[in-house]
Amino acid sequence: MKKFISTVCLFMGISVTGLAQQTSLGLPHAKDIQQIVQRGELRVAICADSSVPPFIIMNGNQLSGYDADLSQVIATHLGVKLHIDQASSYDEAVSFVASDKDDIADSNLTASYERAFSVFFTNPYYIMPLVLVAKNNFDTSNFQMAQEVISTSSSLNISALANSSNLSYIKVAFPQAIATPYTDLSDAVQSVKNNEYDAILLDKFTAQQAIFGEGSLSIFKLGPAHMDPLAIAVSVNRPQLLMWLNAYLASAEGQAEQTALKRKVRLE
Amino acid sequence: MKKFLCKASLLICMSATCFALESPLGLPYSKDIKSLVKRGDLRVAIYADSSLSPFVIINGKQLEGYNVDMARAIAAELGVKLHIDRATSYNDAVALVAKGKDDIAISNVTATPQRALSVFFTEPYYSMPQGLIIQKNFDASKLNANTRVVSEESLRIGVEAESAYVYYVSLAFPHATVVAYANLNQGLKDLNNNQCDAIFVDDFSGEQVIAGESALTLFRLGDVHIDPVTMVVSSEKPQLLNWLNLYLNSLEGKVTQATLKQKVQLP
Repeated sequence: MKKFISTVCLFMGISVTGLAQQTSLGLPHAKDIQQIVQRGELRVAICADSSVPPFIIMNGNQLSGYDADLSQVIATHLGVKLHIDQASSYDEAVSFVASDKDDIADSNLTASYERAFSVFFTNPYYIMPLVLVAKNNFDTSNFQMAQEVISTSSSLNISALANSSNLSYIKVAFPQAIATPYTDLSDAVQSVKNNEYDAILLDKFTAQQAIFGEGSLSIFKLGPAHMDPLAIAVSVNRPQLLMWLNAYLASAEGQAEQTALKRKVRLE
Repeated sequence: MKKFLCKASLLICMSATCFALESPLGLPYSKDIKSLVKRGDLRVAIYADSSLSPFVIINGKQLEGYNVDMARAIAAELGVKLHIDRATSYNDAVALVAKGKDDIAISNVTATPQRALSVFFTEPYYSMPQGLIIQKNFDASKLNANTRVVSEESLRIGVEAESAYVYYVSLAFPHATVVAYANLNQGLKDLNNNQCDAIFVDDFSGEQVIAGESALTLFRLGDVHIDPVTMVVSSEKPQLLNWLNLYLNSLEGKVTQATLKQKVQLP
């Protein structure tokens, strides 16, 4: 009897697994996706170092925001649970994917070719404009902001976050300027007000936060060449997941599901 | 003692290898990139022909030009040396990559569905305008520059053998006879001997040819006939493909492309 029951259980187990391994069209999953479906969870790395709204919002240890929501939607489409590993930096989130601890990193990540030495990137899910934050009277009349390479005076001092892609970006986009790293944004804002720095290079959202309540500071837009493509990092051992994510992002663009996600966090 | 030395050198080797196999960000390299970095060179197929200036400029045994400069810039970004294999045709450049002899081809290659069965293609790196070399007395009213089908007439169109333009001519001239030539000089002879009515070329080759031939002119085709040329990547190297697309689209990559274009006066 016991043997019979375990046989039945085994049988049911197989058929349940067998069922779960098929897509909603009754087709077998591609290998990478099948592994995730069998495991029952999608493992996602998100940098939880600080709040970067609306993409990453930290409330104590509680993580939310567009990246977490997008990850949840992706896990739901794959029919699995979401497992988030909190990383302490953006590069650590990439390293979690490079070492296969996580399947993907959906973490406000710039798809940079330096990171692509180690991981795949999907097509961008958001194109982030880069801007300068400077004093209201900052004179940009001699800059050609529409150019890829913006010529400035050699004494112009632009600051960006230490060890970030923005710091190396200054060297390419503003080759004559002095690129100075900062570690704390509020210190950097103070330095602009004290005329130690002429400007800070930031993404649009961070810039809006930085000038909040600062009457003497403004945002100066750069041309369309200066955009950061935000993309999902994918393990190089999961090419089929990469293809699926690109197909999902292309089909979801402008659809109700994505519109609702963006509206929820007021992402335009 | 010997054993100790072996172990010690093994250890040194291992740490040296580990060190070298980290990306500039201190992250481990992915598999494809790691194998390139370990080998120490990027192998690039380049089709060299005198009609390809300024993309390829033959200077004795040296190859120069935009494609060579781009290959060198990409190898430098990967931190490896550049190894060039000279291909004998466009199809040969694709074949060198398909057979695994080369990692990539930077050779004005057109992405076609037939080739894509064997290799990957990056996003386009140059939009190549196309045209037809014709005799000045040729009745150009038979040609329409701005429709996909350039002519419904049964013309004889010269086109370089072993190139994507053979396929392209079959689409743009559905009733034409293809007259394949081995090189552009042969094609010109065919045109002058009335073996063909027109030669289908990219604008750069066309301009160079008519500069020396007073009886010939270039019939430029419109925007529907722009050939987006791409880099060819081994289908065994998906990570290199992903990396190349990101590099070409990065500000650094765009600035490099603009600088190298300026160097050879490529618009």
